[in-house]
Amino acid sequence: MSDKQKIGKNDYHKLDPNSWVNNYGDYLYNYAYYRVNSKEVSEDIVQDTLIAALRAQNSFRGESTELTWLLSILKRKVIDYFRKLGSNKERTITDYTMPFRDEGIFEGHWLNNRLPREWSNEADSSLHQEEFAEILEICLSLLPDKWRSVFVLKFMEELSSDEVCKETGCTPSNFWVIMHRTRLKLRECIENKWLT
Amino acid sequence: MKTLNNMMGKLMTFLMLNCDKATFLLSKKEVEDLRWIESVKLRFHLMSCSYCRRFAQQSALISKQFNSIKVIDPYNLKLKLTDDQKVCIQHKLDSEMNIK
Repeated sequence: MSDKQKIGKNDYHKLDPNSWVNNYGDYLYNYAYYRVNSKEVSEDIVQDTLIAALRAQNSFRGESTELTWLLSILKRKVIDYFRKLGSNKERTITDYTMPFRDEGIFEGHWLNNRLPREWSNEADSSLHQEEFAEILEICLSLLPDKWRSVFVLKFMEELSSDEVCKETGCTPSNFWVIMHRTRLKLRECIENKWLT
Repeated sequence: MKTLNNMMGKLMTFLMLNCDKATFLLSKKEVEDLRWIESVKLRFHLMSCSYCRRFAQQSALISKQFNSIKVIDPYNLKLKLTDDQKVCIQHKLDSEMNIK
């Protein structure tokens, strides 16, 4: 019998906590980083995830891989992080003004000094990929906490609008307003950084 | 003829979006399907507004970038925990295991 045959179905997907840090630490760290946008927070989240996983070993059924299981715990930690961040009222006050006229027959049209300028052809070229990624990362971190929480949970974590609102305490109409403003602000931030 | 003009006028007003509303729909479009009437109105606006077309292109590029970092490739990890960080986390886990 070959080694492969000797391994019964029940032997698949066992937990080996001693190998977690080495096998999955970096992966989980990257996953967290691209959502929470901070190395310190990501490190904390990885640690919290693995400790929570240790305590929850009995709930592991072996139906998924070890990594999938750890990732599901990490995703929960990411949501917890954004729930706290999103409900932080003091830091969600923003002085962002909309780039549209608010009166007259051209109400709702772009303000002359806020008209979108061209940069995306250059930014989209493979030559500038890293530069663009860096700028986007900075601009994401400059968003008000609540906006960032709503945006990341919806766009990156693909939660439903209802779930996002449940976690961050937004209302359904407020939700789309935040998604809209986040786009406007991100776009404008990238533009200002790209063209200067 | 007059009534036809009138109807056309009403239809135009109905279909007409301003840039605020158009960019609202463009932002929505990146995460959810628009309703049929919304995409008709949006297309209608984009035909005549080069700035919103530019917004649409740039907004799509932003989405593209976020989508590309959404899925983590285990064989191409951009960031690594330092050895010190790993040791530190391992210590925490060890002490947690010892409590048990």
